[in-house]
Amino acid sequence: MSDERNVKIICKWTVPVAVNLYKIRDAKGEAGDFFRAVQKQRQQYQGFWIVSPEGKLIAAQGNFKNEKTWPQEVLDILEAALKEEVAKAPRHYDWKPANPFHGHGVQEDGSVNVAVFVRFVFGGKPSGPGAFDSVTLSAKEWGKFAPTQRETAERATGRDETFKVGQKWDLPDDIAKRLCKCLSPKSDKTNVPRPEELTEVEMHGVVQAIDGDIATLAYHGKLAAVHQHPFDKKPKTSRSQAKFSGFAKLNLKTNEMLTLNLAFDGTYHAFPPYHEREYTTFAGVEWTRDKESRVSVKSSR
Amino acid sequence: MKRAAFSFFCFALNALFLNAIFLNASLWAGEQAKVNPESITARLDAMRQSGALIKWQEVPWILDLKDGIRQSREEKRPLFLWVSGDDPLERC
Repeated sequence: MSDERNVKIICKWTVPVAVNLYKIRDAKGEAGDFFRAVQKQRQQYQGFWIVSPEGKLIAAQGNFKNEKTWPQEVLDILEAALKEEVAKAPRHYDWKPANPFHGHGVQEDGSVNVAVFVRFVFGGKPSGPGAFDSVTLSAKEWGKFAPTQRETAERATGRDETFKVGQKWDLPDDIAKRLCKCLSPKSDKTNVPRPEELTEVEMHGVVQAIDGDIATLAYHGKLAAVHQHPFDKKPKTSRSQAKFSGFAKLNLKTNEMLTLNLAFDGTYHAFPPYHEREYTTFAGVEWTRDKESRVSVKSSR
Repeated sequence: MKRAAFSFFCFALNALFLNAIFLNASLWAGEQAKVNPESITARLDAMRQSGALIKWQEVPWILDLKDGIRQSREEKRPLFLWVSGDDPLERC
């Protein structure tokens, strides 16, 4: 789907819709009925369907031959299915991010959506598309990334003087477990361990430096998981683990987090029969308060 | 001579053992040592997917099928319906 030629056709000559299979197949009303009628015409688990405005199937793809030929396979389907459409004038559309908070900003309820990416690593370099994901942390969970959580009224009064360089704290396991998505480099959700499948969880924080009103908070930790395949009733597990470190910048005057960056170095064993090979993985967790600016790290000690 | 050789062997073994302990300890200490923000951000920059791998984000996705159907009928254009086992545009 990330092939430029495919993106161009989808944008210019179709109305692109993305939905969650598990929600839409059970949805009541027009949308659910429409999807079920489409699905009846071509049964496939995930993938894409190209349909007329009335819901008549034009083309679909649920499986691909291999990852290398996948973009070309999609292009072949698009070109064949939309031959007449592409002859027409392209549509006009306004682009806006589907999730404007992905890796940026604080939502009205105080929650944040930290961006996550996970890659396979070969010879020290990332390989393949990997996984692109995010984790939404509630305001309360987000507050635990700093060593103290002051009362809201107190926050407005000025700089928190309780911060000291060297001050340490442990993040609750429940919060560290939310980062379980960092353990699987595969994009398919069936490969992602659930929080309750974590066998090892640790996340420690320390106030590493204070420079004016900006504190640098450092983090260390590790996660490990044994994940049962969700659609296999027999025991069929994948294993993964990662150690991570990273930092956040906190404005002590406003008590606002400015940035969070975590780097995970891990290993991954796929489901049987591919479980014996150990793959090296890397995952990143990133968030900035402002979309455009990455807080300068040069002032860090 | 034999005794001297044995003493040297014991000394070498001890040194090796102590070295191993200190090495392990320093590795553990290193793990807990200061985080270098510049090296963390440099690693993230090096490992993050390039724009070419996340080109699908440039598509103006509609996340409500009902809206998509309406728009498709208004514009008389086909629907491209992307269905995944997660909330749209989350894990990809």
